[in-house]
Amino acid sequence: MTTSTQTAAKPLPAPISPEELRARMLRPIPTPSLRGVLIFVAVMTVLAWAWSASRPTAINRVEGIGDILGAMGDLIGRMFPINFEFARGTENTITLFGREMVIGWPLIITATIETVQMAIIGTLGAVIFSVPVSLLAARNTSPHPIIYQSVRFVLNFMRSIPELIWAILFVAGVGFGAFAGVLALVFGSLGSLARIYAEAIEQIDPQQVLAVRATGASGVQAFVYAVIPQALPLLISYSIIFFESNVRHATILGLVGAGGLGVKLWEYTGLGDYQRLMGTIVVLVVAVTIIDRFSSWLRQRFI
Amino acid sequence: MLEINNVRVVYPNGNEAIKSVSLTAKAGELVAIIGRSGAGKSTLLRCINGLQPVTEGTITLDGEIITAMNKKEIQAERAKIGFIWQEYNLVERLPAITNVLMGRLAYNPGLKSLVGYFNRAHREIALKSLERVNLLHRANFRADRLSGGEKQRVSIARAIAQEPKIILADEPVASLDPELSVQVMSDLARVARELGVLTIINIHQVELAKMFCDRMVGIARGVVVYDGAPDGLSEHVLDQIYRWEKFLPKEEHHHEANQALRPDLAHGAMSTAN
Repeated sequence: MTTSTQTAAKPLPAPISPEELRARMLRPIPTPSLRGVLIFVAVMTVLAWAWSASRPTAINRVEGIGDILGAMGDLIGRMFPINFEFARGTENTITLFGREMVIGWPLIITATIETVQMAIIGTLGAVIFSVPVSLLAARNTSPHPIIYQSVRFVLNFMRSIPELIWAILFVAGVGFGAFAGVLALVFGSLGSLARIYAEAIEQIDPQQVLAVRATGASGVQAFVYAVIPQALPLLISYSIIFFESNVRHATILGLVGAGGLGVKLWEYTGLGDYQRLMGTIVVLVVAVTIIDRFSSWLRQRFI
Repeated sequence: MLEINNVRVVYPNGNEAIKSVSLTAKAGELVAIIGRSGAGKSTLLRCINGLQPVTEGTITLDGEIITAMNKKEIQAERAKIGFIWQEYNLVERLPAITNVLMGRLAYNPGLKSLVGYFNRAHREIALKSLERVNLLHRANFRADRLSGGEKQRVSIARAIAQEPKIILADEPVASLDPELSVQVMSDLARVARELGVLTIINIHQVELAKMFCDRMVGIARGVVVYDGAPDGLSEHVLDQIYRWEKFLPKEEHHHEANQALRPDLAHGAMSTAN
């Protein structure tokens, strides 16, 4: 690619004599510059200002580090012994070798599975919407700069809304349950996913596309035969990363009643049942770890 | 039959890439275009397949005026114009055979091509094209697993799968080592002769061009300075093509040389950069 290299004209530092430079380089500790001191003071001021709103207040009933550690220790103590929720979630009757058997999964497992199911469908929905949207949002495939700019604007707007807010909106719109959670995942991912898809499409080698166009192929044909194959590994890789993060997001969505494991987390927190809460968290950590491992194995196969 | 009449090309930035070029070539001819980088060789090829609009003049291919066509007509015409690129420009992640089948895309329009459907006839043509460049055994290899020479032969196969009226090759061997260059050039020349297709090759290696082409066209500063048999390329003619500063009056020498050359190519007359 032949892009003109544009380097911003930066004023050169004032020239110094070689002796002065040498003396400066030999100093064991560099002398702080006025600029360095000013930056240090500015950073400290910002930190102090931020801490003024973040420090514990009278309402936290903690005075000093010891109190905080004590409070945490007390909470952790209440989480043990860990209690896994083994109440049956669903019951299915199956016939095996002529005998009827009732198979029931513990609630904790069915809730975890529901979380993963939500993440799969939520990610798939985001992928399906992201492909066409990203075409409009990639500089090299967008039909017009105005479309490019406005799609980017909408995506930025969507990205600034957290999943949990989408979940609250959809619970209000379609009622409690997993479906609201799935919609939250779709719209929560769309803003970021379409944008990184667009960036993957912008990274392709335009010469390969030009070569296909030069055979007389149409724009759509060149897209299918030259753009997609080049962008595909990145698109798949990003989709898997989003599936991973959607599993984690899906657990949170239950907090506002949008299905999955989070419903249980919320319930136990409300009841002050920290032993069951810990059991649920353990299952969650195991599930997320397995999915992370699986998806990074899967991603390596596409690069 | 290709007819280029008084073509002039001025880029939007004011650079005059081609001053005035006229050229006629018949089916079956193998024409080498030689000249320094920036002489206008690439621009000329890109004009013939409509990638570069001309400022003045006309280009006619088998009676059809390419320079008068609109976008849609040019797209249709490109189906009959094979193009071979210095950097091969295969779609690296797809198998060789799919890259060759892309030469059939223009003849396989509509939805079916988008799902990868090519009928038996198209697939036969693609296989035959690969066979002509002796690469049938690499048909299902992904392009990024092929060597440079193999890639360029796949791109020759892609061009002939178009069943073209003309093949344009822009520095087809500039990215290959000398031995592979000879091999790829001989493949290109053999295939072009077998099929009787007019082939125009931009090339820096004069010796290689003499070995395989019937006709040499030398371009310097956007005009044709030689057009004839390889034997006619005397030292004097080569100087006119590659070292034309010699012939400038002394005081003009410096000024003209700097104006005509692209600034990045101001040193070294025989630069191999494209």
